[in-house]
Amino acid sequence: MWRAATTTVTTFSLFFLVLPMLALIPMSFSSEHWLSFPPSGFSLEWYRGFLGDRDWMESVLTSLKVAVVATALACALGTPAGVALARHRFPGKDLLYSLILAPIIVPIMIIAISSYLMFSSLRLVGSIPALAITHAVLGVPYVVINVMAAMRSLDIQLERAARSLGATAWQTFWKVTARLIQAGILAGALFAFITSLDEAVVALFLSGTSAVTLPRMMWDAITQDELNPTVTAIASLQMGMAVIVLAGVEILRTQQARRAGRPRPDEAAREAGGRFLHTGAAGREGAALRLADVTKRFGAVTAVDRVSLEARPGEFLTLLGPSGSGKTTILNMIAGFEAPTAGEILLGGSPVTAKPPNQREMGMVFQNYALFPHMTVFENIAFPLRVRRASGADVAARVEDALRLVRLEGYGVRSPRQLSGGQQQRVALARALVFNPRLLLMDEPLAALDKHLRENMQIELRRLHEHLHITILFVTHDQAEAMTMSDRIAVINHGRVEQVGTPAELYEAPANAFIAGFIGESNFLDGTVTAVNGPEASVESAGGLRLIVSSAGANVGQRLRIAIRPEAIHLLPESAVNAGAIPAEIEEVIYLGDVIKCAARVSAHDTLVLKQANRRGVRPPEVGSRVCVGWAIEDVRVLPPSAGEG
Amino acid sequence: MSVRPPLLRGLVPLVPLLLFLTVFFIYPVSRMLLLGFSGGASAFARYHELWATGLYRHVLAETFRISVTVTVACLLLGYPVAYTLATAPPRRANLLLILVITPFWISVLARSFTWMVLLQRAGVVNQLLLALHVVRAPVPLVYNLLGVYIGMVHILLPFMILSLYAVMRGIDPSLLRAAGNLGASEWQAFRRVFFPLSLPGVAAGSLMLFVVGLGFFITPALLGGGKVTTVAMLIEAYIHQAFDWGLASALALVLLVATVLVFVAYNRVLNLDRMFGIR
Repeated sequence: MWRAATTTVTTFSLFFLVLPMLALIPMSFSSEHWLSFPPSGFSLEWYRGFLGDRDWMESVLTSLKVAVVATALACALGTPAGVALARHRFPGKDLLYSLILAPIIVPIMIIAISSYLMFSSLRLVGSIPALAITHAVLGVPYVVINVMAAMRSLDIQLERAARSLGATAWQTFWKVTARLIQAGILAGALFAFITSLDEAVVALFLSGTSAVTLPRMMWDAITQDELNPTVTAIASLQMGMAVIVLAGVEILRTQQARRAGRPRPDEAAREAGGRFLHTGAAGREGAALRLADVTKRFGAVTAVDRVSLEARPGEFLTLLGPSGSGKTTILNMIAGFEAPTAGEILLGGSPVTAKPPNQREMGMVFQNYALFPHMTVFENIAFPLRVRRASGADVAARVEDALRLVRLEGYGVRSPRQLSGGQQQRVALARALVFNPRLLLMDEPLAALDKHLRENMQIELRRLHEHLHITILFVTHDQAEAMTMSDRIAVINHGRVEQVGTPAELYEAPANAFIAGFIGESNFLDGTVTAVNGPEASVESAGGLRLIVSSAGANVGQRLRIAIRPEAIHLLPESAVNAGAIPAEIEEVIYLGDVIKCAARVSAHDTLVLKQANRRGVRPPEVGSRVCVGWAIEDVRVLPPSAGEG
Repeated sequence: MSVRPPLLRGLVPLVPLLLFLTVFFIYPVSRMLLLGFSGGASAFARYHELWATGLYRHVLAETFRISVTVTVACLLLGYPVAYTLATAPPRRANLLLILVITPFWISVLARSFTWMVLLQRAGVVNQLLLALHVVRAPVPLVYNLLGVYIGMVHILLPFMILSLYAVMRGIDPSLLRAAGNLGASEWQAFRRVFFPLSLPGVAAGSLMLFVVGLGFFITPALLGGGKVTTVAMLIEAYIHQAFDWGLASALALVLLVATVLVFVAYNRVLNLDRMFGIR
């Protein structure tokens, strides 16, 4: 029922909205002098009366002049202001914003008489500048609003990408920001233009006798000779113009879309193939990266706490940590997007902390790739070369090489939007490598890819790394990904480096319970030392389980945390209890294919997870069956009781 | 971008606009408003006259009444349209949106003029009502308050629809599917999920219309037939006919204060950005 009511009201409202438009056009062709609907007869009299009349035509010209000047003024003043307002925070910003929007809120009548008062004392009533300035006041809020909206929908990563690729602040604004907000500027300009063209109240006061605008003429026609049908002809022509403008914009848009797919002329120079891979010089060897006591505070929050870290030349170092651990902030400081609160960042031995991103010579692959949507693949990769003013032939050759490197030959003419996620990823990689950076930064670059593609890309990245000998700093929260690719891994938690080491070191000798739980899986038991016997200690868990661990220097009464990897726990027959194994009951069995995972209860408080390789002849235990579990004493790790849980 | 630019440098792009608005907006409006206080004792008499004379109170009340009525009418007519737009498949929504913005294509003057023709005694609307036997004799639809309402609703309805649509478009359709999956009927899903989420749009649209409606001049002047007077019309009459800048300025101050008060009250409740999000 309510759906029918919705449809009825919607239909009525839409009909109500278009009714005057539907009625206007037939009325404008009426041959009668008093207006009625439906009209009778057909004539072009009212069009002739408008188009053939000097005064009407002059008013059209005046209106256009005023609107053009007002729009130009509103755009010139409103665009920089909109960009600045969207970008910066400062005290009093809300007040300033309210002031800029005030001309929309303040009744036009008030603005009109105020301007009238001022311009009449300047003897400027009846002049185009007076009208244009007042119309610019009315139009400027629309420009600011539209520019700000465009700025807000602009991905800040695109600007960061431009900076890290070597563009100066001005180049970034001109080549990226301005291009991406031009639709917003255009929309604001259109609003300002229409506002001026349609404005009658200000014109009522400021037109005088020498700057009569079209709306002013229409107002006079309507209020003086009642129901002058010429107005219907004018309105019909306005509608016709609007349709033409809309169609024009649409055609322009489709043309632009088509042009994006056309090859660029400067792709001819391909002869210098292979240079990309073979030039060993020009900073191709990776540089060492060192962070010395780097700290970042956001207000009261310490996001990064005295991090010291070193990536050796040519090393693949991964920052691994859960989300919110501060690893992205570390990366942003290295790239130069955030300034450290304290500490120093050194590349190749010299400090870069004070350098802007475009002078750091670091390639960066962003999580969402940050490919410039208004450029082709070719232009995206050429960007860092162009901002460095490389010659046309050199650019073409090096872009070709970079495309070959990531196996995307022939994709240069496409738009980034036409590529799959994996292909976009490789374009981002080619763009970050094409200018021979000294360091490659990668911010969770594979997170958006599906599992299969991700694993392929991991192998491809490793291959590239071995090939190029570039220093890579890779950020991820995926420990398997970190283990697959890295020479060394730095585990980050709560803004601090917990441990740095090779994958094997981290797995086999975790420094604390957080690492033991984060890198692979671990069973944790908390307990108290009950006896010390040479290099071995007896520990009793909270659930009453007694274990022997190897622990040099443990004291009776000390609290410990014990970690055992699931694959180190063996499943033994129930009879093994006589040999010192621990009796257990199987609570759960999970079949994973390559391994079988079981949960075994060993005391009222403790359950251990264990993994068995799934080999032929090995029968998975049954839920509820009584077994024994045991392990080699070397597989038990003793850790300090840790605050950071796994 | 690496280091946040010094505060002052970031604000440089704002300077030309601020200068422009100060010289051509703040200064002339302040100067005009000061006229209302000129002449010492006569200024007091002027405001006392505004307060004491029934005419001004009547005009102010009528201006508010028109604005409220038009806003409510636009809300009632516009909500279903915005809802239809927000829930229709994209292609149809685009088509309907074109219908909604068609009135923007022609000038406010021409639209008011067309309503003058359509609503007159022998106009098409009266003919339709007669043909459908809704009325026995032609009814006065224009040159009165009703005509003003019709004209103003026609001008402001698209703004209401766009404000509502801007918010409704942001409502995740899977929330409605989730409500259905949890046992809500279509009406219940609307009533308990969609409607509460659309309220920011209702608030934004209503306030924008109310504030803009307070300052209307062209439509009430043309369609009111002299029987309807708004504050803006009175101001114009004082300047063009009575040449009394003092009273015009005092009235302008009353109108401005009313507008700003409504606006500030709103800004307290909701964010300014939202109100202009669509435009």
